[in-house]
Amino acid sequence: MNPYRAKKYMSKILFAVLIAVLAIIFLLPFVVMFTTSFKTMEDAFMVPVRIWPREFTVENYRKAINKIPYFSYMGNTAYITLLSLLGEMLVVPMVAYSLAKIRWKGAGLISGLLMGTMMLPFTVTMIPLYRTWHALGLTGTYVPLIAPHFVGNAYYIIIMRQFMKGLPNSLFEAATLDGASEFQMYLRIALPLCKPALTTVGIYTFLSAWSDYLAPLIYINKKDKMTLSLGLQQFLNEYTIDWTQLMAAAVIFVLPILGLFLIFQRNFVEGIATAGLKA
Amino acid sequence: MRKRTRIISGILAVLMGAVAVAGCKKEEPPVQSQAGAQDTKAQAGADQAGGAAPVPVSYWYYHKGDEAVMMEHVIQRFNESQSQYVVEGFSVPDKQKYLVAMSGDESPDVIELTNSEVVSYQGSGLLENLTAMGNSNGFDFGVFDAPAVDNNSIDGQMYGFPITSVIIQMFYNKDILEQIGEKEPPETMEELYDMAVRATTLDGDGNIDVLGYPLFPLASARQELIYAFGGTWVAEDGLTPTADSQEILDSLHMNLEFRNRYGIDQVQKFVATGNTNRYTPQDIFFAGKQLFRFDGPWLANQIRDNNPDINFGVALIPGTQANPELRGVSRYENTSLGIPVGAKEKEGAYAFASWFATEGVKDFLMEIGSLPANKTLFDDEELMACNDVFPSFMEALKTGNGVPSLKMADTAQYTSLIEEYLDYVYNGTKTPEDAMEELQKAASQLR
Amino acid sequence: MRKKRHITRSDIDGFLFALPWLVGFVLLCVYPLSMSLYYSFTEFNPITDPVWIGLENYISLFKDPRFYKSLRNTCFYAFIATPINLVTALVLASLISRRFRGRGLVRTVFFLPSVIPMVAATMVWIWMFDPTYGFINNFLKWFSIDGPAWLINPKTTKWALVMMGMWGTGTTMLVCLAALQDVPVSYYESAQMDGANGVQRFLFITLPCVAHVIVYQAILNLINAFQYFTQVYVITTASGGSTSGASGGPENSILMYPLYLFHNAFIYQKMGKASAMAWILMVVVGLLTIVMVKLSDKAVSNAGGE
Repeated sequence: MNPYRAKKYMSKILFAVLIAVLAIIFLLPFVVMFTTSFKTMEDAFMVPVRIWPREFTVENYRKAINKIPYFSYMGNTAYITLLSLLGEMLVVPMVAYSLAKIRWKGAGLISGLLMGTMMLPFTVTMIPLYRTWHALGLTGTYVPLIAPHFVGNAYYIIIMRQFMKGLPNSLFEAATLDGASEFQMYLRIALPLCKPALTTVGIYTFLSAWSDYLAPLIYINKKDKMTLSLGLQQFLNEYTIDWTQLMAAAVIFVLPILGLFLIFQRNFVEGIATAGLKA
Repeated sequence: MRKRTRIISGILAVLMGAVAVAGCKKEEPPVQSQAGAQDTKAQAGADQAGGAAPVPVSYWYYHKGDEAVMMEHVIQRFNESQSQYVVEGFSVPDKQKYLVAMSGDESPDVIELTNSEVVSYQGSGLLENLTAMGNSNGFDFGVFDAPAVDNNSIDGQMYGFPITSVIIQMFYNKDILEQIGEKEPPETMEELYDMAVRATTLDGDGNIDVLGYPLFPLASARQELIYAFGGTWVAEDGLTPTADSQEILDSLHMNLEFRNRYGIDQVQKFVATGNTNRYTPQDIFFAGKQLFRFDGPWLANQIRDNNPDINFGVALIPGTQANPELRGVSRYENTSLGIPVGAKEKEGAYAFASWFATEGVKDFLMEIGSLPANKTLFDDEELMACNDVFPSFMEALKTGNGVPSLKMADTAQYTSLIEEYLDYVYNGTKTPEDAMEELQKAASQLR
Repeated sequence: MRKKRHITRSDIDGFLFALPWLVGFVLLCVYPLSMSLYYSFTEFNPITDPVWIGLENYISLFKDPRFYKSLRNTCFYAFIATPINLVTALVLASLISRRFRGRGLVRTVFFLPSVIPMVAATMVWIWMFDPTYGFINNFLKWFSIDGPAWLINPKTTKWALVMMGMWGTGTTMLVCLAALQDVPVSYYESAQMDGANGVQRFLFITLPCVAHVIVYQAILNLINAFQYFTQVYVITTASGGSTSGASGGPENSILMYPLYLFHNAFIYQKMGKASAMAWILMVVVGLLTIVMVKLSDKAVSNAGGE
């Protein structure tokens, strides 16, 4: 082997090792979560720490599911998530279309406002919003959790707008000549072409609604209406934390999201790239 | 370039729009206050009592997990004991939820309270006067232990029915004590320190293996370890901060001497571990890695349930050589039941709360392993027999050395300040003198 | 363009299409924002009505050492973690911008942490940070390093948060990756012919080409840093050592600004003071964004980008 080839070979190996080490570091918390969830309390508190349990137990899962009404919380979470999804799907592409494809005077201003709202700290609006929902008698219901999704999230609108800007104008010009109204063009041309971006926004919405913590923390106050993220908190007992059960609960909380992500990975990655690059 | 200008103009527009609207906005829509409507409802509830469906009463408590189950048992017993009301329990561990919900339509009818919450909620006008309610219903307030009445009273009126009493005493590991050649637990802090040093051992890496001085649990290090020297965080009026008193400094100096002896980092790490596995089968006390433990009677229940291989005893918390009469000193706090002013079903709420505080409380105390606030149970043989350590704790309760809870309106803020400044002392960031002086200064701003 | 003042058909269409968002903007943004400004001059708790007290909330905040402490903590996180996250993201992105087998998988692995619900992820990290049973210190022990009590020692708590942040930098990494892949290959080829080495290529070609993306990501990261809440809320409630219910970690070392705001609003029941804090945050973040945008304009045009 000549020295040049050897050097190249070496750098390839180094690179592979580096990537492997990094991947392991990034995966580690997942591994810890999964394996701890199958450990007995005794194994979990062993020193030095063993990654792999000495004996596998599914007891933690059984207890975790019994400790909180897991499936009813999951149903609540799914209900909120689906309605939120519906809201964003209806509104986001419409607003984005207005900004990307209709030439009108307010478009520039709205684009600026979108950026402005993105930097708005949630804590600023938290107290007045609570008082408003409360005055309307809607706290304790899912309305405060779902309604905001029916006006469109700024970040999703930006993603969608970038995608729509990329659609060839010629399509729309031809339709205008044929006498199509904006709404017809939106429905028949823009929307069908937007499927990839719609999927991206859909997954984002799903993720954020599924994992939302603060809004349910503030608005939900009936046991039968609780969501999974609140249910998870029940494991942080006042006096003691059962780490193995907590990890089991976390695993079943995270699994649906992991599954969804792995299926729709491509849309995810592309959506983020578009939004980040061109916004 | 244009994009950036747009971002800036967007931000400015949002800000200015908001300022403009705020300028126009003068009044706030009335959010609540329907006291009249509630009375009629309560009335309707009482009328219905004769027959038909029981009236629902909502009850929020902050216990979670296994303890929530015990709370549900109480509720179940109440619902079975009568047919007029049906109590619906709800475990709400988030304190802020109580606050926001009590502001109106979804206010629970009964809530579980700590002493400091009694003070702060009452200060905000959120709680019903139970003395008035009790008197009109012929309730005998004499059943409660006097300090418990005091803890739940503001200006002589009670706002909470005490359910449990919380005091802390000294658990000790008999085997470790024997190993260092002692037969009896210490009676003064000086003796305790001496034994603690002899019992503390290090492993090969210089990390602590057995901890002698009772630095864990953190809450009792902040309270009983101070009280044992005669220090308290407020003067007797419950209102004036006394963070820079000599007694507190004495306690902190001994604390710090121990920490410095074994290394601040080492102590910190050991305490952190103790905190992670607190009350699990691997708890440092259960595992024989802690000589003295200032903790509540529930620790005995935990020991019974986890069945560790440990030989323990309970004794009064020591006093000092100078003040031996301080033995048995401890916080004296209660968990109580209150009725929010926004409650819809106040009659039902009163019925449940007064039942819980009297008839219903014994079974609950036996299950959860807490001490009574109800004097009639002080010598109850069945209750005393359910927990091996109850007799020792009752002895401490009767010393009258209990330190009542703070009565400041800003109690939460003061407590939080204490936590912060003790951290400075423990970590060696500030000397006890400096830290306590600053704490006293900060606390004097509070109400 | 004389017709500019007329309202055209497009204007009406555009307005109608954007109407849902505009309604939401007014109801969920402008209105609460203005209310919170009004609240900041009042004193109230969840049950009482606001009482006008003028500037008192602001005055008491400016005298409150904890206000400054929380601001310092947040600034530490914002200005230390943000650059670290950006560099991490950029390094990871440049690693996987190379072609190799299993690249898609590695990309997934790096991005995975970003999709995990914050509450669950934080709980796992708390467990990993435990000085005795946690994986991290046990790992360090293999190299004979005596790891600190990460979440207990006030000197290390913030760095623990920084580590968690690096782990969750996936979104930024994906954007950087896309930006790197947008750099025309021809640039590199001609640079290579001119004899530029790897470092030079990175500094003089890659960096200018992706500068605007990095700046945008920096702004987003910074804004997020000023809203950092869930992680510290979970950490401080899980640690269980506090009786006040308003813990900011050891020595309040991770008392982030939004957490202190939350304590004021819901634990100390000082909603007016909390609203004042919210508005100060608004203004700080707003100014910061403007400064960043201005600076980046200069930086990007100096670098010859765009």
